[in-house]
Amino acid sequence: MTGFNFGYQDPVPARITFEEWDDLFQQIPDELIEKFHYFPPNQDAWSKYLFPPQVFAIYGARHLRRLKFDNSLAALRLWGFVNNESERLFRARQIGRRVIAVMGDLGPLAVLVNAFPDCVPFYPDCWWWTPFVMESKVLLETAARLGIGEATCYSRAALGAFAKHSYFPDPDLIIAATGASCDDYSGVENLVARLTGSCLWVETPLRQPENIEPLSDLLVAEYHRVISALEELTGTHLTESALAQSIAQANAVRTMTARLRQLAYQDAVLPALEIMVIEFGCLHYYSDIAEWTAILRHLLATAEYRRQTRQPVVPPEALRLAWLTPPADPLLLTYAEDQGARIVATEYVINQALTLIDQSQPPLTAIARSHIDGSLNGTSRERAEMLIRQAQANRAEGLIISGILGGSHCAMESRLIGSLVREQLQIPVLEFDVAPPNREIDRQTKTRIDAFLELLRSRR
Amino acid sequence: MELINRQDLAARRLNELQELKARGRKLAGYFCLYVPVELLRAAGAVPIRLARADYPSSQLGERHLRADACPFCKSSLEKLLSDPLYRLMDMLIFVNTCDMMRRLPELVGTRVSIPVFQLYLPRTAEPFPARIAEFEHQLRRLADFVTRLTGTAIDDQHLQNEIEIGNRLRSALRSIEALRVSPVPLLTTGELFDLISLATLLEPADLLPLIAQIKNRATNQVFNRQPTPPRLLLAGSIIAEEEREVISLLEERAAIVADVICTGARFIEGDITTGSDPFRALAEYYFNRIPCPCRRPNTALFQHIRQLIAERQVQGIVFQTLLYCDPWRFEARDLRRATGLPMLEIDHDYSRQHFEQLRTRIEAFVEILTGAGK
Ligand code: SF4
Ligand code: SF4
Repeated sequence: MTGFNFGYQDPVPARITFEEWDDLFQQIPDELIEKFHYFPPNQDAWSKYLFPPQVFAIYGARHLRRLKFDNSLAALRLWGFVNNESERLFRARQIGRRVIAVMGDLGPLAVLVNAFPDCVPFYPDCWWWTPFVMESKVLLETAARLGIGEATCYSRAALGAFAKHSYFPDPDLIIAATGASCDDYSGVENLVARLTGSCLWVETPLRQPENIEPLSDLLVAEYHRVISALEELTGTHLTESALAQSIAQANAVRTMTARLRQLAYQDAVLPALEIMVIEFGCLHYYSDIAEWTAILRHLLATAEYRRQTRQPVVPPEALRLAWLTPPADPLLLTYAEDQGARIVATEYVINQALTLIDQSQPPLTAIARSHIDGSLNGTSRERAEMLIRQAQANRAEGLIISGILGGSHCAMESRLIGSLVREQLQIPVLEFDVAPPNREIDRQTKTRIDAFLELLRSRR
Repeated sequence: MELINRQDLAARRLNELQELKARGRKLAGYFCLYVPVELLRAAGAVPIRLARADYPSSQLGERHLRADACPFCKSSLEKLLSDPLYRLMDMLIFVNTCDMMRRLPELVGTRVSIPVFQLYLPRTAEPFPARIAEFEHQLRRLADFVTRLTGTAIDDQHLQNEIEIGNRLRSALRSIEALRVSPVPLLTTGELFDLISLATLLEPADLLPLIAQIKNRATNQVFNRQPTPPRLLLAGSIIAEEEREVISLLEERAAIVADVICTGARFIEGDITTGSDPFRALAEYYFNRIPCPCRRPNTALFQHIRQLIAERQVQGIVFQTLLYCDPWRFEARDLRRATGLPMLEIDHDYSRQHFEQLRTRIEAFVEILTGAGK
């Protein structure tokens, strides 16, 4: 029964606080804590990552005190690994790996980088460095000094992080994709390129359904430039088998992620917050695909076990919500679950990285095609339809759209998506912009969520 | 007496367009300077740039879009429902330049039933062969779209002719643009913008004689202007045809001797190569236009600005952005640093509420430049 869990018996599934994790952590045997290392098969002491959330709060991730976490060993592993990414990147540099920043394309660039030995791809806008989690405005203030102030997406924190030089090592190469990405992020990339003085720009075309082949040829040409740059940097020639292996690894991550989402949304066996963190992993695997894959396997086994033994972590009868972001504010997800809701369908802007790469096709064409098929490259209607399909399948009772004031795509598509959902699903939609990251959810947002949930309850 | 009576000419043209439409000609509305008008003409369409945004329509546009959409997009959407010129269009052509423009056609499709084409222009500006090849392919798709609506197939010779006409028109406009550079400007930037907006509305055959006539009158100093220091460069978001307050306020006190506005001098830059494959020539010209700030990298825009500053002895920059226009807004700090010149930043939404305040700010800026404010 606990074979998947290294002999450890998880308590009855629950969402627990920061303090409760501290207590629970005391009960985890030392051998187990020693067992998990990043950059496997390395087993050196410096690469342990299984720590309770408190450790990371001390290092600055103070938001963790206000969240709730799944109480499984697999989830502890997830949180330890994700929170440890900053340290992991500095270690990567120390042990001679190349640290490559991949920006803006939500998936494919990391697949290319992973095909090179000793290269570590990372996402500078990964949410663990964003203000939502750091409870500090320092990155936003730095970004403002560099030219991107208020009324812009919080992803501008990535610019601040580059300028501060302390959240990740200065990358060996920055690859920035633009095209289908939004103006906010494209602007961030542009200023990062100016700040750092070098950047390899990659085009990511819009999806035109009747023009897929030429667009994928264009993308393949772009990928060839990326490969040449990486070959030059590493002094290695990329082989087709290395690329095929990287694709297979990416697909394994994407497949497990899709299954985990399904288990969470249909059977309520994992909380919304953990699922969101898992989804983000498809962008760059938190800079270590081997260990990330192992963690996903562990999570999947835990979730399947809970499903088989009918042990949900959130009440299945909770109000079923669909959620469309950006931005994905962990506090809001936590709050919604605390108030008796659960998430059953999502479009966090990162579904893009869930599309499988066809392993029967030539590798670069397959990567290009899967990218073009992604959610962000198409129309808002297609994005809405993707959400509607999920929401319908999982019988969502309401949709929350949390946007950003001044986020370029929010301004243009939130209303359209909201009205399509209303029309097709006949469910209520709550739309609001999240307040700037803060210690607490602002009162107005809280009241609006409360009233919305009340409305959904009354419709039952 | 005015040098150019734009309003009058525009009103007459509206009647003419109604007649043309009644006779079966197809009108092609477009929003962006990356749309190859030569190709539209060669396919038998009448290209009209739709850049008449204003405050009332932008306010009404909030019925369809959030308040934090850019005023130009809000206004354009509303005008498609209510402005007589916009409502004449038989087709609309958009380019995915910025995020707002990328998404606007989809919204337009939910409000009006005019056929829409979205021209995909690579957002990256380095002219790699695969990018240009794809853009050329996009132009061929655009040609198919227009041809289907007009029933006129494009032949290479006809396209070549239109390219030559386009080149003549741009060249004539460039020669007149140069008149604003002299110490006593023979043409104001307001007048230049009038002419350029007419170039996007009238037929070249009607406009070319008009340009010659205006040039003749301007160089003969009919207006006996005074020297108007200091010398400014105007940069930033699109300046709509009906919303030129910034230009008129500036020209009360200073001379705008250069601009990088897409409804201004950027519209008339460069020539299209003739004598080669016309589609390829169009693709290369339009792909390589001085990049909008939303293209990556946009270094060439900065180089162009620096060159204008040096050549035209620019003393200060006026940087005006529409509210929520990220592509331009994000460049403000770096532009100030890259040029080292005093820069006045104006963020506006077409409303005239802050008109007097704006006048005061401009006056103060001009005083700083002339040293009077010290
Ligand atoms: S969340 Fe939206 S606005 Fe922000 S960077 Fe991502 S796509 Fe852009
Ligand atoms: S570039 Fe700026 S002004 Fe033009 S459509 Fe885009 S956001 Fe609006």
